[in-house]
Amino acid sequence: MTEKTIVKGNVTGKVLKSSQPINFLGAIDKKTGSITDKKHDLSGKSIKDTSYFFPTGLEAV
Amino acid sequence: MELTEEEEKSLSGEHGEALQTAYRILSATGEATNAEKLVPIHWAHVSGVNYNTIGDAGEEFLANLSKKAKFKVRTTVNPMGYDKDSVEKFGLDENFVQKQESIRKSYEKMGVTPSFSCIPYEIYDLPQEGTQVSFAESNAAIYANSVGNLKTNKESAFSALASAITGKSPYSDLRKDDSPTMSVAMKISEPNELTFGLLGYFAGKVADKSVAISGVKNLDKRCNKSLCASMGTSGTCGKFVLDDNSNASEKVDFDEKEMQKVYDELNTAESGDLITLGSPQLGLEEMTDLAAMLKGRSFKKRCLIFCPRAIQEQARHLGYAGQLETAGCELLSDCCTCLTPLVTKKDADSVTTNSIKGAYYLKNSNGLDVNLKPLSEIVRDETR
Repeated sequence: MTEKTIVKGNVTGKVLKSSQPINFLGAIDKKTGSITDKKHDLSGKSIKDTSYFFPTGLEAV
Repeated sequence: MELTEEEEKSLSGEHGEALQTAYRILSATGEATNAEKLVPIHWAHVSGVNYNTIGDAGEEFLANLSKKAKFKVRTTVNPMGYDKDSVEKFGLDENFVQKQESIRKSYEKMGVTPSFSCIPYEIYDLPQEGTQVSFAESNAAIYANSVGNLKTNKESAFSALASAITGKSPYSDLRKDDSPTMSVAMKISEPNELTFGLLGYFAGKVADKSVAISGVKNLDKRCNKSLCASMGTSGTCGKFVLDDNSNASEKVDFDEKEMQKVYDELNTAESGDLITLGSPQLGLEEMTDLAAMLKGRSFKKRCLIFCPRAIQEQARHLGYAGQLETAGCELLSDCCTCLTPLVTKKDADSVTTNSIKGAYYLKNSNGLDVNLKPLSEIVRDETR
């Protein structure tokens, strides 16, 4: 994996990794952080308090 | 990314906190997308307006930002959660209305043109071809690039907001190179707007930044909007060109089998308890066209039509709004189907619509079943 620093800072958290793009607007429950899209490989998992790794985001409304 | 002296000063906070925030966003976006510089933009369209989409964090951020920030270029704004003229009919809780009003006021304080529309391209004249703009609403960004020949990336709510405040955007991605890397062959005969919606959803999934579509001669307004909106929903692709002779390296077919796959992913009901039209909102052309289709007919169930306020006013003046209401339609301005708080599980189990984008969000965000049909079939089946 290649990395690049965009924003400075420190953070710790469990790593959650997906190979699929994610729609933060339509596929994540804002209150709980759970992935609601049933077709997503991490469906039902919560991104709350994690470092979430994903290839790209989708959509902007 | 190289910044000018003035930009550096703004980034370091010399010109105040609001500009610093905006430059921090642009500088992070620019670094992430390998931009070498910022370029001037001449129109920003911001998203992140509906309280359902940005929540308390967004509301607080905007309230704070608007104390100092002023928009530097013409800035239009996406739909909010409701139409204030009819909000009391929908039983929204007080907190929603209060937070939504705060968001509206924050944008107005910063100097927004209060369009509350996802189709700015049908309300305002488009600038000259090749003009750099910054559109966050995905259907509008794709429309601007593909139909309007303008230049924008598929901006985020934050990057478009930062562009509105600074009048600049990172020179990267589609602004730099918008040549298609993939070509999708349209293999469906006699397509309607739903077909083009399904095609857009498919193309958005398989293509990267820009896609060529072959086998399509010209598109009417409804089909064009449907294609732009669904493409924006499923992926990262921000532009299409109709081109039968594309030299894109990768070619795929959109045939009956692929179309059925997309349809089965989004269509989950045989019929709907109510109908929504819009996402994107309807323009004047679609409203007059629908009024003609509905002549002498009326809907058997609730039919919500979402359109910009400016369009509703014109349609009312010209008599079409009245004709649609006579046919049983409810016209709603300033809001849209997408992430609407107005249609929930309390109101309905399922919704009939011709919008692929609407279907995606009704299903995934509102938790409703969706019945997808082209407008001609909705009129045929749901009116008497």
